[in-house]
Amino acid sequence: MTAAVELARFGAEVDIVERNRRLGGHAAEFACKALEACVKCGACLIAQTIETAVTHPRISAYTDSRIEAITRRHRFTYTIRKTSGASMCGDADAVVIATGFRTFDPSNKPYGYGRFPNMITNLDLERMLRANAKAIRPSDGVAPRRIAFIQCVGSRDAKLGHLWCSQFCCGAALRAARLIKHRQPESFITIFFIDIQTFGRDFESFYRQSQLEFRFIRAIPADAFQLEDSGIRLSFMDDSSPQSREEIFDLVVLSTGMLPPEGLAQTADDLGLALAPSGYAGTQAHRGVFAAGAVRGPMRIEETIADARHTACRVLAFLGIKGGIPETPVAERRPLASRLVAPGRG
Amino acid sequence: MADNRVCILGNNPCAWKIADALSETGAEVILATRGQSPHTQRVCRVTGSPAQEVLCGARLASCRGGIGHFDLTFSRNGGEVLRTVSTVVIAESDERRPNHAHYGLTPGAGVTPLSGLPDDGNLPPMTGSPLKHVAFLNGLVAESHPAIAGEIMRAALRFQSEHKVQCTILTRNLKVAGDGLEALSREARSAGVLFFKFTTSTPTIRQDSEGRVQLAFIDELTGREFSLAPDLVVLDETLAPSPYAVELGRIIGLESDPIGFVQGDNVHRLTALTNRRGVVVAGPSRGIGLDPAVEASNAVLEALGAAASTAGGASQAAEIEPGRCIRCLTCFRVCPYRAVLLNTRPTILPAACERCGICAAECPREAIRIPGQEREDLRALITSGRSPEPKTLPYIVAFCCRRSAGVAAKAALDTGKGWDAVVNVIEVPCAGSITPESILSAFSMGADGALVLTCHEDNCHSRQGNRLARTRVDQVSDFLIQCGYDATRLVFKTLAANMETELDTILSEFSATLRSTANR
Repeated sequence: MTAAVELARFGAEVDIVERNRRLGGHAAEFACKALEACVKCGACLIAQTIETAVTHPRISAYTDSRIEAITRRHRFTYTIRKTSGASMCGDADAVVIATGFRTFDPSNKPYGYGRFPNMITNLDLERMLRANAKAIRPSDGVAPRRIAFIQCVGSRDAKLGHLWCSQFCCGAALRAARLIKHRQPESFITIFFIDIQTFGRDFESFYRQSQLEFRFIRAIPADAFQLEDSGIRLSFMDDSSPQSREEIFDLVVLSTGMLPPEGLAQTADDLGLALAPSGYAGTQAHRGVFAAGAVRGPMRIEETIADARHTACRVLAFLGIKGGIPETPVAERRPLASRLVAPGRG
Repeated sequence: MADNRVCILGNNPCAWKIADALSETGAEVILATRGQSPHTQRVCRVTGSPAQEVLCGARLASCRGGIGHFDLTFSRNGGEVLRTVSTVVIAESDERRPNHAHYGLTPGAGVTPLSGLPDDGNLPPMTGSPLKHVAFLNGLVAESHPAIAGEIMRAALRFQSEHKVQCTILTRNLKVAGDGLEALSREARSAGVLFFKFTTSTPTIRQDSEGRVQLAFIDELTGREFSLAPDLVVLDETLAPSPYAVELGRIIGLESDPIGFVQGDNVHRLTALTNRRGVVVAGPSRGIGLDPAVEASNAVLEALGAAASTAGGASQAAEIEPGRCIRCLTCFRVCPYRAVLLNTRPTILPAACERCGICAAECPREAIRIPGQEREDLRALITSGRSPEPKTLPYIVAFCCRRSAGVAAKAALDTGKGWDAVVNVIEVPCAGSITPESILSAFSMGADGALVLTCHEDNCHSRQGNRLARTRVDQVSDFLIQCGYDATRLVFKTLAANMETELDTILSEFSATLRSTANR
């Protein structure tokens, strides 16, 4: 979407084809994790980019849509099929694959995800915080007291062949944990981790503060058991003793990693784009086919924005648009103060 | 007007890429490097293009003006060089600081910082015994970074597999949040590189009089004791902005982040923006380990965007009325964007003004006007939202920052939910433009309650607009209490653009409070 906005700014006509009902991908579902101060995750920037994209005269956004057939002769021609059944044709000089990522499905891990109501993923937590502004136990809607985060679920996992760090989950988990602790001070939070990754410009102080607020255990639990009172017992081996330990939690959050998006191999094949060995789009471009954002490999929000702009630059060069002077953004041409009124119900 | 002339400060791949890409768009480019000679390959490339000038050995001494017309003074060879440009791009190199002090080690034969290893991947020359065992210390005291961890693992893998030297990496959190680093760590492990991870303990590091280092520790995983005497210890390094980059930030008047990079730690500066229009920052001046190609593209787009904002002409900029101005320079001090120029009297550079309204709100003489955002404009917005008499529901005026609460308000209104109140959401460019007077006028014009909703601390596009708004709300609350008015009718909250749920709660609760006080 950022790539689309930049391309349109420089005079290109853009079609955005989005499979979901709304634009913005995963990042648009993320919750703000600021306490008093912003934690600089970048999630709040998405709403404005969506607005720019949908209001831009040179961008047509098709949501609930898929590309049905794409062929190239001199240009690309394709059919956009809406979920409702309607279809339309389009043509373009370049194609940008910006389909983001898929999250790892932890159902096959021994954590009982999908069976234990209080075992949730990081994305479930984002949606929960977004909708309720606090953490709750899905089983009964009550605030959990003992909360565990398990990092690297489906990332850094040689057995699965996932030899990558998903890069965003340490930051997302610690920021979410601090928000929960701030809003629900009675909660006791444990982070199970392999290595805590650096995020943000104030990482040192953020991490130091986190170490005072939470318990960090360098271990990834092996098993989870559902208890009768809907608590979850985790068993893990940490360095403190040679035996495995067990502990009970009210809510467990699995930091599921990123995977290349569904259907990427097929799309790449259709367009003649070579993928990286990891299955992501990597850095390749091929005769007018480009990739932007997390489809290229795991990234944080700020990195996907930078990468999208970089791709926009490459596309402009390919199209022979020599930069030149872009137009002033639409947002700057709106009146300074404006109003919206909710009339109430009375 | 300096048309589209750009000065790029820096002498590294990122700066060169920006210079080339901007030249191709037809911009006139000046590459100002602090060192005497730029990279040799660079000289050929640059002189080949008539649109480029290379200023070697030029150190920025002062910067006056603003977007569209920066007057830059460089000191060079004991003299001064002046250049006028429309845009400035800062892409100065960062600096690597070896962490000897972290580990209590002194440089010597048995100790080298990471950047002391040969660039070609060969073993460093050793005096005396051949190199058999190398230990790398990574982030044992201060947290490491993927850029450094990556270099360490690459060096260890190469020494281990090509030169058959036993490598050991002693690390706290192993930073693998970078492209290909997890795969690299696996490869290094299978090649025989040993990793020891420390969570609760720290190895004991001793250096004898000849400079040789002894490492003693208990492996946390197995509980076994280890004592290592490597032939060479390679230390990690801390990446930080160079003192010159920091000085550039001071000369140009830029925000800095907690590490000292010349870009505020504020998501609204993403990716290459600074608090000054027309000043773009990229690569090693902005952060650690950023990809030069990606950074160059971002800087190029922002530099072209800066040219666009001067070409369009900003008609809604703040204006200072000469007759009212007493030259107290409040506007100069409070402007987050450095848009106030000091000539014989302060003037506002229209293209540099972001129209946040902070100067107008702070001016003690009310000498600053912003077209479209004046007292009458706000009053009209307040009255127009009021429902006709007789009133059955409380009337709430919600002053919202357009970038945060305003976006959330739109999403909340779209749900079609009501709050048993008439809510008039007034979007302002920045909460810092809301004066005590505008809050009071909400009450005097029939509001039962007023909300001031700003972005979170550190998320204000205008840096301190939210803090100023909070201070003013506090002042008005005190005033209301002194007048015997109910101060619960005025509420200040911080919100992000994606906090429509929280906004909904705030409105419901506020409406309930107002209804209950009305019934009392």
